[in-house]
Amino acid sequence: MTARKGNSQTGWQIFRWPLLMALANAIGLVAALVGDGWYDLVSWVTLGLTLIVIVAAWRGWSAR
Amino acid sequence: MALSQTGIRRWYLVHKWTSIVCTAFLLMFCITGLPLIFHHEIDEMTRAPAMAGQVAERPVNLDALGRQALSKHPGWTMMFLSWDPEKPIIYAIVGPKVDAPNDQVEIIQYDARNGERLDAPPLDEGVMAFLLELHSELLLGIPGQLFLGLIGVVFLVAVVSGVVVYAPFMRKLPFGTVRKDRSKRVKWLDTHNMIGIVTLGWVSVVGLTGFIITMTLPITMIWQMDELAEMAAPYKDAKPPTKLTSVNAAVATVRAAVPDGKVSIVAWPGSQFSTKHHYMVALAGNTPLTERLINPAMVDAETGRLTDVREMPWYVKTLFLSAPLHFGDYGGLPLKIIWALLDIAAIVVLVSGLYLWLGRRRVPIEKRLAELQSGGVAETQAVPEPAE
Repeated sequence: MTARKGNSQTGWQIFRWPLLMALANAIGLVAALVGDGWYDLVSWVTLGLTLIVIVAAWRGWSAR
Repeated sequence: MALSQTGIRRWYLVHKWTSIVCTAFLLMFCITGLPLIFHHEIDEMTRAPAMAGQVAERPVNLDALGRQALSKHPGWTMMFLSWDPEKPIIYAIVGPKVDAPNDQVEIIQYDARNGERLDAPPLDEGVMAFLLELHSELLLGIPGQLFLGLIGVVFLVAVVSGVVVYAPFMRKLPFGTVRKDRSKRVKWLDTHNMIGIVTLGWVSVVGLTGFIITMTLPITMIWQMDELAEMAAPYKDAKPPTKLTSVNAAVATVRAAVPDGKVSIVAWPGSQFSTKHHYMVALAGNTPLTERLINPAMVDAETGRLTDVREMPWYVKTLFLSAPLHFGDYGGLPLKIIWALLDIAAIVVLVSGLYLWLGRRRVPIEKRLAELQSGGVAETQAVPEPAE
């Protein structure tokens, strides 16, 4: 891909958002396993965020 | 990070072929899995045993319960007792032999508050049990389960290769792009990539834990050869007990020795989860994490003496923790609903992937690679498609 010119993104730029999403997923998956109550709430919010991003992106939002 | 042309071509082909191999099975997983997320709730509504709200509680004698369970099957034997984690129900699992396969056993339900037999439809029949058998073993028993494990490995390769080809596609596109103003193909390509990458964490965990669960039999066998063999070693020259000691006393001994453990299963001597000389009494902890990690307490089935209480080895713990992470049944109903919606998102990724493949089968690979590396632009310019 070295021949490509113009405003190409680096690997970090491409993957920083996906990594953040994966991290949120990981926190959500583990949280509910560790405890109840607040821990469950953390897992609903972080995993629910995935669904919100899907709907937002489908409706036209993007990171730039 | 940057891949060579050959590298992209290879990874593209890996993604294409691994996906083709497993898509049909994954659609089956996702579609049968959707109602299975609510297995417990559906059973509760349709097949739960009729239980009195209040009964006069009295201590249950497990020996008497065992005799009652066998009364309709002369010559059969007790295999396991199991306690429901939520409801006051004891399940007695009986079979023609102590190591009988799943399809020969019968499960009888008892009220844990007074030991009365409950009138309930069999647990291993009905629509949900059928869906579970399809989902977990293609209705083919152990070979089906191991085959699906293989599909799981292919799926994980498809996920990894999908992430690799995501990079060249997204070089010029911001995260989350879904272009609806170009062509139908670009829209679905963007949707496939966006949902695929956003659900990556969840899908990988559900896929990996699903694979681990298909390894239940090999993992059990390793445990039998490793720890059970070690616990049976002192009995090398002894004959299996001809008359078993009281199971009620065995459980009481374990409860007295480990007061904060919750007895969840008793396995009879010679069954899959014990030695020929012990009752295995499984103890669950009482925190959200430790209630999934049961520890075996071994009671000599001839003397009634507690011989060993130990932790499970790491590979069995991994198997135990895979179950909640696969089923999503560990964070209340909201987590189950999120699980179901993520499952639907996965179906969208599968169907859009299928659509993308079917729409371009006869196109030379160079063109498809050009499409990939231009973020979906080049190819559409070369072969214009009617926009919606």
